[in-house]
Formats: sequence, C-alpha cells, structure tokens
Amino acid sequence: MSDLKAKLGLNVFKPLPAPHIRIRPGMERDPRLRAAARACPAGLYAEGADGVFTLTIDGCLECGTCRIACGTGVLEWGYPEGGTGVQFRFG
Amino acid sequence: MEKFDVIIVGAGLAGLAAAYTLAGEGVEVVVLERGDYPGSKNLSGGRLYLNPVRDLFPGLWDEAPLERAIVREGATLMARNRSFTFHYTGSELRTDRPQSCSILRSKFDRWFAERVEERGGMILPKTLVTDPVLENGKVCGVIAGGDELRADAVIACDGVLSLIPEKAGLRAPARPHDYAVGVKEVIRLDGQVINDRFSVGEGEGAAHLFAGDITKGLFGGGFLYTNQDSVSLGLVISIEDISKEEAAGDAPALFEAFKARPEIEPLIRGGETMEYGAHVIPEGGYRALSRLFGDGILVAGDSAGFALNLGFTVRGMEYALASGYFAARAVIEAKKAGRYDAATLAVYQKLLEDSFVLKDFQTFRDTPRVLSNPHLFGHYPELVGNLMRDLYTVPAGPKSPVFTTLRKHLTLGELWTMLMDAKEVAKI
Repeated sequence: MSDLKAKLGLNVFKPLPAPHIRIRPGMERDPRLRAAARACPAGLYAEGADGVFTLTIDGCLECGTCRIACGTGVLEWGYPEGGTGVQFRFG
Repeated sequence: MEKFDVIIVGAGLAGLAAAYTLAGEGVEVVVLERGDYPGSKNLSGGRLYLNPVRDLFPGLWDEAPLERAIVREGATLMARNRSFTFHYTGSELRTDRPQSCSILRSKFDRWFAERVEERGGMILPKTLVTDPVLENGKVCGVIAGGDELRADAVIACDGVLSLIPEKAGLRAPARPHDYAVGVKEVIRLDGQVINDRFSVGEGEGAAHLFAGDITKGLFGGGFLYTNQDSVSLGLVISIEDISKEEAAGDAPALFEAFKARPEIEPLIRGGETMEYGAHVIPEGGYRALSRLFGDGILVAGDSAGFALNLGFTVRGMEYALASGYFAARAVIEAKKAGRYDAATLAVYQKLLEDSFVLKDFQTFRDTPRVLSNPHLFGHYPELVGNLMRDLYTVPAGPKSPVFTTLRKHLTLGELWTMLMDAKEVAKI
C-alpha cells in the first residue's frame, strides 16, 4: 500500500476545498462498498476489522470507478470544484 | 444572465473537436472545463487511429504534438508461468501518413484547445458544470460554478460518467457490466532506449496488447504504447468482475503484478514512473450507448459511450473526435433552421449513422458479449502456453512426436469447446 501512496505522490494535486465523494451517513457498513475497495485504482477505500468502510479522498484520480461499482445509493458522488483535485501533466 | 449560441461541457477530444468545428464556422461557442487547463483531467491509453478522422480536421495534424507513429504491433497471451507473443509490422504502417500514433492527452488536448482559441472559440477552465438547466424538458443551458449560463444548444462532452446527460434524462446511471477501469503509469525512458528495446526507428513506435493471467481470468487486458521519451503501461479490468468477491487481488495489486511479469519488467527497466492515472472505459458497445440527442442537447465522446474494444484494436479517441465534429455539424444545421428541438438535432444521429462511428458500433454490436467469454482470459492462454512449452521442451529422455503433443492438448472435448467459441467469434 505504501508503494501506491508513493505513486500517487508523483501526481500533481490541487487541494480540495471539501471531499467531493462521501459515504452516505449510516451506510459505512454497506457491503456494496467492498466493490469500491477492490476496484478503486488509488486504494482509497478501506474496510476496518469492525466492518466499517472508510474513504480517504486524498489521491483521488476522479475516474468514477467507485460511482459505477457501488452506485449513488451508497455514495454521494460529485466532481471536485473547478481547478482543484488531480491535474494530469501527461494523461 | 449570459447567453451563448453553444455551450460545450468538457474540453476533451469530443468537446474540443466540436468547438474547433463550430468556431471555424463562426459560431459563438464556449467550452466549460473543470480542470486547471484543458487536458488536465483527461487520460487515455494513448493511441489515436488517424485514418478515420484525418480529413475531418484538415491541416490540424501536421503540427500536432503526436508522440510516435505506430509501426509495430504486438500481442501476448499471458499464461500463469509462460506466454506466447507475436508481432506484426507492414509497409502500410511505415508511410508518411501513419495509421495511428501514440499520444499523451494532457499535452495534446492543451495544444488542441489553443487551436480552438485561435479560431475564436472561448475556453473557460476551472469551471465545473454541475447541472443542466431544464425548462419543460428542454435543455436551455447549464449551471457552472453556481452561475446559470444559457445557450441555444448544449453539447455534453462531460466524460464517461455522463452526469449531465443523466441529469437531463437521456440515460440511466452507468451499470458495472458496461464499464472497465483502466489504470496506467507513464514511465520515462530515454528515446534511444525505446528505439532499441522495441525495434523501432526515430519517430516510430510500438503498440502491444496483453491478455490472460494478468487479469486473473477477469475481462480485461494490458497495453503498452511507446511515446517519445516514455511508455504508457496500463491494465484494463471490468468493473463488474473486479468488484466480485472471488476476484484475485484489487486493481492496484493486479497492476503491480502485471508490471513485475518477466515479459514486462525488462521493457520498463531503468524507467522512472512520472504519473499514475486511471480512467473508466465504456465497454458495452452499441447496446450501452446513451440517447444521443434531446431538446437543446447533444451527447458526444465517452459521455455517449463511444469506445469500442475489438480485442486487437481498442478505440475511443477517434470516435470522440468524430462525434464532436458531427455534433457541431448538427448544431450548424440547427442554427440555419433556427430551431434546436430534438427533431431538428436528430440530424446528429443521421450524420453518425452515415459515418464510420455508428457503422462500426452496429457492425460490432455483438463483440462486447463475445469478448466477455472468460475462456479468453484464462483457459486459452494456458492452453497455448502449455502447447508451446511441450513443443519447445527437449527432455532428458526421448521426445514425443509432435502429433502426440498436439493430441494431448487438443482433445476432442477441447476441440468441441473451441468450435463452440469459434461460432461466437464468427459473429464479430
């Protein structure tokens, strides 16, 4: 996982004023989140030993995989404010 | 309240192609782009097939920041512990009008946006469009950064999630079955090292696709494209498949395992990763396309679902460019008629049907289903690998006759399976 953090550290990110994706309140144990934990290319979703999922937004590549994998029933999903978030230099 | 002739959501290839075409005809057009600059949110595998789009944008390509002309194709079937590779090259790939080129989207799109501005098109970066403005079901503009902007027509080129068409009622939310996620590293390598490693000359490049154990039997595959001074190395995996419990490993781990394969590691040895990105790819083909037009709105590029995976060729960018171009042509016709309702904008669908875009999607409408056969990602790579192993092995003792080796692998049951799969493949 630390390798992944290091790779994400190579990207240019402009600070997010607020998280643009949130697990809907009360849905932190929803098993649909396991799909995001498996599919997120940035590894931002983690399942704790207590079955509670957490989302760390820093490093988000804004690909939308989690929105498709879990749906908006469990995630509040939006793009970050204009000019913030990941800025690809190569793409 | 600001009012424009045309608002384009998103400065990707579809949006920029539409803006370039409209601005060239003197139509007042503004492109709203959420990135810091055009290209900064855009990512592709990195191969553009020029032939279908060259003539839609005359004069654009000579100065374009293309990376390398692809003159060498390769494909590898990856079994667990072995692999089978072939290469193809041909004189038709080595002309001064190359069939395809590698590109890096942030560089290319930024340059393309400058060409749009030269023609008088307006580009507003750092501007997130959150909603369409709807009046009696007609799209009359967008909400961007909290402000309402109005236009006669909106062209949604807002990317694969297609949030604006979804909010305008043109499509249902995306289903995992119809999408894959691609993860990619851009790895810096000296240009001469690339020439030597991939057997290409100056300005020439190679493209290589990989399928099999690298996705652990899941739908998907790997790619490698050579750029001028870097390679784009990526892995594409079905979102539906990777989401399932039984899948082996998560997406980042699968990608790391792919990089470490003995077939891949020597190709990127000594290289330095410069960027790690991801992009969702439409994989549903014709069946999964969005509605392409409504009252006051057209949909182009990834937002419409315009990407097509044919196994040996994986295409999206030229469909984005062409659909943007034809959306612009449709708007120009609508402007002449002075009407932007769905019946008038329907000419967009007609233009696409008469072009390679929808012709290709119709021709290959069954391909996504055929290519989702799990045999292609596990069984056949192992079969071919094992057959090759036995053909090449020289044992300590006597070697079996070739026919015996073939019969051992190609049993009646195996041939029957192949025949059944071949019947499906015949449909593509």
